[in-house]
Amino acid sequence: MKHLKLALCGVVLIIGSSLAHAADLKAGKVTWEKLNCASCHGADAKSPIMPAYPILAGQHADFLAHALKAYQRGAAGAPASANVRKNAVMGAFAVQMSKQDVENVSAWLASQPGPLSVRR
Amino acid sequence: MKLSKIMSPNLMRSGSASIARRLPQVFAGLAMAASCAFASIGFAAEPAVGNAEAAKAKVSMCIGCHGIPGYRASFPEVYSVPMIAGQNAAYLQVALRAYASGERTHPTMDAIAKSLSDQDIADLSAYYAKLK
Repeated sequence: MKHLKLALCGVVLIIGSSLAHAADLKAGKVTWEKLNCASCHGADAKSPIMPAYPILAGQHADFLAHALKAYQRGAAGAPASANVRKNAVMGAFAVQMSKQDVENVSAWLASQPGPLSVRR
Repeated sequence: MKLSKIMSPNLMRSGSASIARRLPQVFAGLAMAASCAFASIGFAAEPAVGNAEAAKAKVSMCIGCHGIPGYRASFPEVYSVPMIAGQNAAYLQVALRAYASGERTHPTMDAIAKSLSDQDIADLSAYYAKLK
């Protein structure tokens, strides 16, 4: 019985977390196109128009989402201790995005082929 | 830049004969303008050329997080630390300088970026950009 309860808890947790993070790749691509991200980051998300801009294709989805949230915090004037990014351009785009937009576009970018790795 | 901006109004009012007497002052003004021009050119260019070889003695501070598959940071949301191998060198430099200046904040990266010289930043960026 105890095992069954544990197993049920596990199933509920898995379903719950997948719902919370359910990202829609198609919707992510729509967000990418709507905000015209390609005009700086490149159509393939790995050929930015300037080398000072990052390659996004294939990056971890949760990191990309974190970066967008940090831009949102920066644009909202959160203190430096809140882990922020202050950037006029990215801040202006990030504040137009809902939580779901952030999750979707991050998931779509992570699904694109790119050169990034954890090599050292 | 117009000469009038370099020279004092007093100097401008005086005639050409007086300018001749004050040639050293004129040259000093011109030299100052020239040095300003060179300084602004220097500022616009990349401050240091990255040496990927030299970075091999410096990457120990990076690999403890960025070199471990699945490594995560936990503040203020839990997220995987970014993959930096294969990233654009110029972007990596921008990111490190943003941490050093406070434009971008993260407790660990702030401290590391502030400890790096311009040369360190250029070397590490060149190293990771090449790592594909």
